[in-house]
Amino acid sequence: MKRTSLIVIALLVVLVLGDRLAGAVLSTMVMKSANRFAALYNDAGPVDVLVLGNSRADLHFSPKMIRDQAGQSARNLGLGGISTVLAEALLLDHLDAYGPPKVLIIEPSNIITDPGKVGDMRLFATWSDRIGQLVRADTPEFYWAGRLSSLFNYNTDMFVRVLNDLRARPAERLTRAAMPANLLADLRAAPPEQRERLVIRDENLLALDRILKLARDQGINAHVVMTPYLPEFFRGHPDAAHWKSAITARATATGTPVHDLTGLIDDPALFRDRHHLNRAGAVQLVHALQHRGVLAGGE
Amino acid sequence: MLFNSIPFLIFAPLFFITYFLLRGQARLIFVAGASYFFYAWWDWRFCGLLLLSSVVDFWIGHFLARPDMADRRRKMWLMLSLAVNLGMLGIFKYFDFFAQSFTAVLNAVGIEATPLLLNVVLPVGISFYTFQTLSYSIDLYRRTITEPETNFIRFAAYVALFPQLVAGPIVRAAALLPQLREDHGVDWARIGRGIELIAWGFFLKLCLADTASLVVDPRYAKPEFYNALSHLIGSFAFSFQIYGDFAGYSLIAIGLGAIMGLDFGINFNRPYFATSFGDFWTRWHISLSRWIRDYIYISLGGNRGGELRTFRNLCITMFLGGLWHGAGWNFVVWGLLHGFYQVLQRIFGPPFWRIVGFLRLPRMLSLGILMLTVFLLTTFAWIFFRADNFDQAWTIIGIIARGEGWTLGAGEQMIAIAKMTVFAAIVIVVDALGLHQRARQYYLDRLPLRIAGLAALGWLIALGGTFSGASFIYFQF
Repeated sequence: MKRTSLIVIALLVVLVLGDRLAGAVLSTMVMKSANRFAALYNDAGPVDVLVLGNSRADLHFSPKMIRDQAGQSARNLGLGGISTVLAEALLLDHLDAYGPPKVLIIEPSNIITDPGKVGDMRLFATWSDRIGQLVRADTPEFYWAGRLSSLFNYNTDMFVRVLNDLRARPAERLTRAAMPANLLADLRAAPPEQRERLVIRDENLLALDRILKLARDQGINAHVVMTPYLPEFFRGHPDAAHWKSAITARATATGTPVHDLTGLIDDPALFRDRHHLNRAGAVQLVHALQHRGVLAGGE
Repeated sequence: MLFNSIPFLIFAPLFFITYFLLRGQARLIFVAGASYFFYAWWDWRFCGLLLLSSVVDFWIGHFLARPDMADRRRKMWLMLSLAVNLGMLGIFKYFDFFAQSFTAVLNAVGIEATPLLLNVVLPVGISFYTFQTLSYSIDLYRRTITEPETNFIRFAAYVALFPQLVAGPIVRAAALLPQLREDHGVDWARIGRGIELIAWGFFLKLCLADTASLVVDPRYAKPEFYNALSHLIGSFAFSFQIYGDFAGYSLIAIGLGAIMGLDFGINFNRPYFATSFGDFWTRWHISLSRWIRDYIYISLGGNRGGELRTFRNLCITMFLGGLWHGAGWNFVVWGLLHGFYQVLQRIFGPPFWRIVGFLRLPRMLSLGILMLTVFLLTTFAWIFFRADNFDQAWTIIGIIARGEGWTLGAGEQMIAIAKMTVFAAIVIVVDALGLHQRARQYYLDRLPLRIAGLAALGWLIALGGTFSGASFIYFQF
């Protein structure tokens, strides 16, 4: 019995010490990464233009393109699956660390994203109490597992991306490929009622309200930019009108300018899929925003 | 209740504490009760079927064991056991499949008909526990077991034993009932070994199988969206997924049994190192392979009666083995493919070795060629096993065969592919080391190494496990 107790104690000591030690090493690696989200929690510095949203924000607003075209430093905090609620947490973390940007671009299509879902951003719960609280509400078992095991906090795809960004500056996220012809043909053939629904989540609308009010109170030049959808998907979509009016109502209530650019681009060759522009499309979008004076900080 | 769920994390320690506090009949009542509770966690209504199977075979067992009963009457009792158990399987698992297939045949010959479907839910583990109870009746009939079980609670505990109730191993009455007669005390060495098996099982399930499923599932959900390379990767991924999933489950079950002081035997023995299909089936799902060998293949005549009869028996056995796995033509094709592989092996095996001798190829190289061939053909057969239906399997094979695209685009689960590759490499290395008796013994004899190994598994699971709460594939059978 004494021997067994010693074995159990030895196992627990090795398990816990190894976990903490490896966790500390991985934490250092995250902080050394050039990944944009890791940089947010590691003295990335203030920027002129901050972008919030989901993958449509991520793939439509290249910081390099904004810098080249408008001469403004930019940071894109958009990522696939980020809800407006999570975007709000990222904005608050950014404001705490670096103060208000001159321009805030909000791509609002994430109002349909599950507001409780933290997903891959769970990696940053160690550095952000706000994200930690969202994890706790969304998946309490993951939150407590993360408290129990340091290594568990790094068990996300985001950590693999962070590791990838250790080697070099993150690669350009825009792609040159156009949407495959067969998928486009399928989309054209499908009746509007079969398209993916755009169901708005109330928690996201409330978060959008808070973001817009916060921007107004802090004197940030905020813009709500509804970026282009593939016309074959969005034109005639049963939810499009409601989706637009819900966003517009929230923005106008706080006096925030709304840019409806959903129909800006007609050419399918400028899209990589129904939701996302490719590089050539993103260039046109940034041109349009530049033309409207959004990137200079004026309407 | 899934092994990889929070309720089970609470259930297991409570079970073991109580288990070791009790002795004799009280312990048996507790084991049976806890196992029914474990099963009822899914759907309490199906506990009735479990009880029915136990009562029928316990009762019939007494007639089958009577030395004074004529063979004809004993056979009648065996038929009754087969009718009840296979009848349950037939109604819950196969009725709709055969009704649909029969209607399709009628429609094909111009007779309009609509199938009469029961649309009943398949009770979890029914294929496993019916085979387990059937083995008891058949062994009594064959006089492999001479004494019937006299304690119903023990028999009920044997049929419902929770570690292996829903997905095996199928442990026969002759092996398990005597173990349930003993009052196993706390044996720390066994408990330690059990924990090691459970940890490796969870690694196989959470790290290998569930990560591979992230690669596999999207490809089978929309096969037409993926190209040839992508489907090849998906096919190999499924080979590792099914191994990790089922071997993982088996190891957890065997480990739980070991903690209880019970020996379930082994159910997987590094199957992808098999150098022939006969060898593969002595390494894959061993408890089922032995079951169908002893009760179907040998009953059909086995390899007695010439080559053609042996080929026929192999194909019938594997056809039934395929059908056991699922009520669908894709499972039938999967089983028949394995039967066909074994026939081919018997035809081409001897000439292969003559060529090897003629060319003086090194033995290791020859075995490597065979190992790779078995793995590739097994992977091909798994496409039918994984597909939702025959058409889907054919779509995937068509894309691969036509070579439609050999590049990987964005959104192809690259991170999951990378993680799965790392975990598969770990499993292959550990399995390869396990083949060497000396390496295995070296590990088992060194306590610090075993502690480090167990800790490393804990770290890998925490860092790389996929915690999606995915069920085990074999639960559907």
